[in-house]
Amino acid sequence: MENIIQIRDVTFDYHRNSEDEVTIRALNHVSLDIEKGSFTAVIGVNGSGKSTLAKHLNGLVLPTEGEVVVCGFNTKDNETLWEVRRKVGMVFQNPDNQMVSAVVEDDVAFGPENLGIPPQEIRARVDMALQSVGMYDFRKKAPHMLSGGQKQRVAIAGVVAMLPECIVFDEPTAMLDPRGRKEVLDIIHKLNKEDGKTIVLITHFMDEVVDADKVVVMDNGHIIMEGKPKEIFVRNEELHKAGLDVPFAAELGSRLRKRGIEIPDNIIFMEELADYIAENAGSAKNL
Amino acid sequence: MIRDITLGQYYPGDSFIHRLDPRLKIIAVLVFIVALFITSEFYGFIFTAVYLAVVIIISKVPPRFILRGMKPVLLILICTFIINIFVIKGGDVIFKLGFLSIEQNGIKMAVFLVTRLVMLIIGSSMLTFTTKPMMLTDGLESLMNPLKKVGVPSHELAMMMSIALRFIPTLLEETDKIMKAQLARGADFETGSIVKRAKGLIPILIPLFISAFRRADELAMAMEARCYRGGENRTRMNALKFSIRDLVAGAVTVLMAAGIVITKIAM
Ligand SMILES: Nc1ncnc2c1ncn2[C@@H]1O[C@H](COP(=O)(O)OP(=O)(O)OP(=O)(O)O)[C@@H](O)[C@H]1O
Ligand SMILES: [Mg+2]
Repeated sequence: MENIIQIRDVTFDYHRNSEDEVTIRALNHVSLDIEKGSFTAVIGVNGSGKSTLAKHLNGLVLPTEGEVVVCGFNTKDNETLWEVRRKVGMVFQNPDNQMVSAVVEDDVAFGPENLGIPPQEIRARVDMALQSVGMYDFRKKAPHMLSGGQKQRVAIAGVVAMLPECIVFDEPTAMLDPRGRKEVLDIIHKLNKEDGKTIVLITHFMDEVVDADKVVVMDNGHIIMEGKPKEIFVRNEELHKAGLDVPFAAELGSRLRKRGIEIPDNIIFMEELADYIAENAGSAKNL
Repeated sequence: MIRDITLGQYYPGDSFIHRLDPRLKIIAVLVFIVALFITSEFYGFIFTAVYLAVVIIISKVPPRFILRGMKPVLLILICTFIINIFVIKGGDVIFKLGFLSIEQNGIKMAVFLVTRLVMLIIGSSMLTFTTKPMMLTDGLESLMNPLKKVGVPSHELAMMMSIALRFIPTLLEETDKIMKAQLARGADFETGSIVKRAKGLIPILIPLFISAFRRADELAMAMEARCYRGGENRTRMNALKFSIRDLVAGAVTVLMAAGIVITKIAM
């Protein structure tokens, strides 16, 4: 599969202010490939550099060292920066702070309007995007009348209307209640499965990570682990050391294992665990 | 409590007036205001009053809604009336008490000025009642566009206005939250001298401003991520279109203004 984004040995320093010599190294020689059509989850404790990494993916910040290449365009190239931003959309944590317009459909139109697309086509894209997140009936509403989950869905529609190939989500569910979280996650998965969008999901919730194609674990500006969820979550000692939890099913499995109950260590889904226990209930009782 | 403030409220509808081009409506309001100020005699108001009444009827905005919008300015109207009724002299003396007297011209002038003010306020609020905020800023941007050549940043001004409109409810909600939080800590906004009450606002304003700047920062980033780079090469989903409807409305407005000018010259 071809890589839509290549991050090559990127280092990034934040400067407190221009004269100040003190810098904060947010990314430290990070390399990562994002496969076209894949679902990548990024986890890590606060301040580990996840958001900084995300902002590199569409040129919102440029590497201090190294480079980021999106669909063959280097983000450092000013000429193609807008092409990069069109191809890689971004949804942020706080839905309130990413809406520009007082009417839902006008907000969704904002991106396509910036691309200079003719009015009829903008209309068509806005309707399509709102339908794909299930917010078409709310198109005339004001954002502040919506729930958190609904606002975040509108924000997603605003990105979808730009027809990006990849969408980066920076903790999109962090401010939502469980119901809003589910709404948003379902849409993210749908965008990946049905529309073939490449997804990068940054999150603090381990349960949002288990169905990703690839999990990236960050710590202190480094990528410390990278691999399939099953490969990552068996290494729960290392994850704990990086300050992270493992998904509930994996954690339970590992604790049961410690107590001498045979549970395979590649079980990380709730369903899998339930199935396994149900199947082996007889022998488990004997233990 | 704070949410009761209605700023540039829009009354949703689909009337002839609602569907007019916002640019035409803005110009018509300006013409209407000038007409009010040209008028120097009572009967001149016949034109503006009829014009306004027709606009209100066609727009289907309920009079109750309009009157509610007048509440905040009621005090100004009463003051204007009282000051004029006592200050303007001339004509028969109607009432006298010590050094205070009400004379005929005073009453005339007070009624005249209050009528003008009421029409001014209703007329301009008809613009916001019947025009979506978005359309209003679009209209202003389009009207200011010729001024771009002399350095007026019309697009940026319009953008600023629409972002401000978008964030008014969000910030009001936040103010409410902060106030409640401070009340829970024993703050008191209702009693005490003006100075004390003003001081009480500081613990509200500081967190509010800090949060507003943080929001601004995030919004700027989100706008950039959505390829915003100023007004250049930007298209609009709902481009403004001047139609026959607008032509008719424009003609009526011109007639109203002409009526006033002609009666003024003729008198
Ligand atoms: N604008 C900034 N100026 C200076 N330092 C910053 C800035 N933004 C982030 N940092 C620092 O860079 C490091 C990485 O921050 P980043 O926001 O990428 O972390 P994160 O993994 O997204 O954390 P969180 O989970 O809290 O969102 C942190 O040490 C942070 O303090
Ligand atoms: Mg972050």
